[in-house]
Amino acid sequence: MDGGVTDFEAWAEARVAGLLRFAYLVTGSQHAAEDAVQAALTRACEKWSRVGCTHDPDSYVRRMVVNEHISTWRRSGRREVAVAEVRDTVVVDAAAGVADSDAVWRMCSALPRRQRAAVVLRFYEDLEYAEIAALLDCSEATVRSHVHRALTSLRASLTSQEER
Amino acid sequence: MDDLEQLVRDGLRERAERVDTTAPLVARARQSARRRRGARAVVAAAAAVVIVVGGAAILDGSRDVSPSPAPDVTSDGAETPTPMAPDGWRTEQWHDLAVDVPAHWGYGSAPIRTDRRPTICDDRRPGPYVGRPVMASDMCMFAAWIEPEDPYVWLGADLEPGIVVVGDGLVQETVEVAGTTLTVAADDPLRRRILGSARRGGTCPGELGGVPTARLPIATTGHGLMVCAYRSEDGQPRLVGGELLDAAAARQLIGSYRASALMSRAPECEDAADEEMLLLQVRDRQWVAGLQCQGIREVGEDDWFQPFLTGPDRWEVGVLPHVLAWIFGSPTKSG
Repeated sequence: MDGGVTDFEAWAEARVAGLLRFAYLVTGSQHAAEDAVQAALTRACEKWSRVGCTHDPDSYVRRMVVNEHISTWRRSGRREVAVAEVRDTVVVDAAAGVADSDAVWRMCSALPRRQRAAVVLRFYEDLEYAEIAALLDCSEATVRSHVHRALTSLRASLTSQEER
Repeated sequence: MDDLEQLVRDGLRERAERVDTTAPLVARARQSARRRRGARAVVAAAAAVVIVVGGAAILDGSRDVSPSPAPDVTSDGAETPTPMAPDGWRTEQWHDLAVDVPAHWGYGSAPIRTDRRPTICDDRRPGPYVGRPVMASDMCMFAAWIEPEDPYVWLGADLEPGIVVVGDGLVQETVEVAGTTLTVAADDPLRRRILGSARRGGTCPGELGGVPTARLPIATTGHGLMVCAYRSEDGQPRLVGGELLDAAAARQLIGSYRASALMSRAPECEDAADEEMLLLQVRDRQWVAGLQCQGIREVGEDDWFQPFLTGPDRWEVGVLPHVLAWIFGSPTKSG
């Protein structure tokens, strides 16, 4: 057992900010991110005697965050597509980097939930495809397909932005 | 790494930096966990009374005594032997509802509500079918646009009770029964017969009330393998369908269970919110399996094992591939 993770509170306090950022990218909303992280931490707290003994409690809780988000969607029976923050006015003279960043976020916001989770796990958490597949409970090929489609979509979006 | 990937990394990182991380989530999680532990202690105390009563019956020597029911299973559920569907008919289950339908009907989806309009997400083939509100496909269309030619039954559809004429003179009737909705679109005699067969409680318990730790009351299913499929709704596993597989499937399950290895990730399987769970029965043995955590445990035992099975393809029978994303979302199915 890793003695450094035996205390839930110390472990959770050290990770909660990172988990919230991760959850925000997966859910696209501050409120949903807080809900997902709180639910995941609650379960981890309840089972800490066992979760703390696993070699990677971070991975366990990250998985719970993703599952909480996807389960909420399925429970609600909705198939909404999250929409990026709506801005009435496009800041045309903003730096190109800001425009690209917005394009990335719009692309992520339009993705189905599992696909979006795959992109965040790949490019924000820097996980390998095999690790993402294990976390999302799907094949590595499916993860690669998710990521490939997302990048294709982003490329198209950026090209169209440049043409405008 | 190409520029596009770096752009995504930078874009996500930039967004993540804007997130407010000041909410006291750790303290809230601890409080929430304490409350849930307290609630479970009350349930455990109640369950202890049940066990004492059940234990007394066993000491009496009556071996046929019903196993301890799970706290949350409805009392008028599966303890009563389920009436068999008449010849040429089969019984379909959804939550606490059981209803008989013609045995040759296929499977499909029932409407879910999206953007306040009932929508069907399915790529089903034509023909009479039984639909459930499970999104088995990304192909969705508003229910009002569908002009059905064949009869159907929808279990648990998000519709108001009432009668409407749909398609080519087909009458669709929705009623509330056993805590859910039953919708039948068929000619008059068939519709009445199907609606008349609706009842509370089938072979499988309508909900699990958590990951089962004691045997649940399921009618005897002989040498076959009874598969009760559950999906998590508000953290509770609710029944979405049941299927009796043959004796070969039962032998395969038992063989697979014997050969499986002790799990190292057991905590995930202890979570009743696992999106999809199975309750399995072969003769007097029962197992619970978490399809997300890919673990299986014999009811009454402590340890979880995996892998659950070698692959979902051998489970593509009856209703199962239409309600379990584990099967319809598997790489073999999605191509």
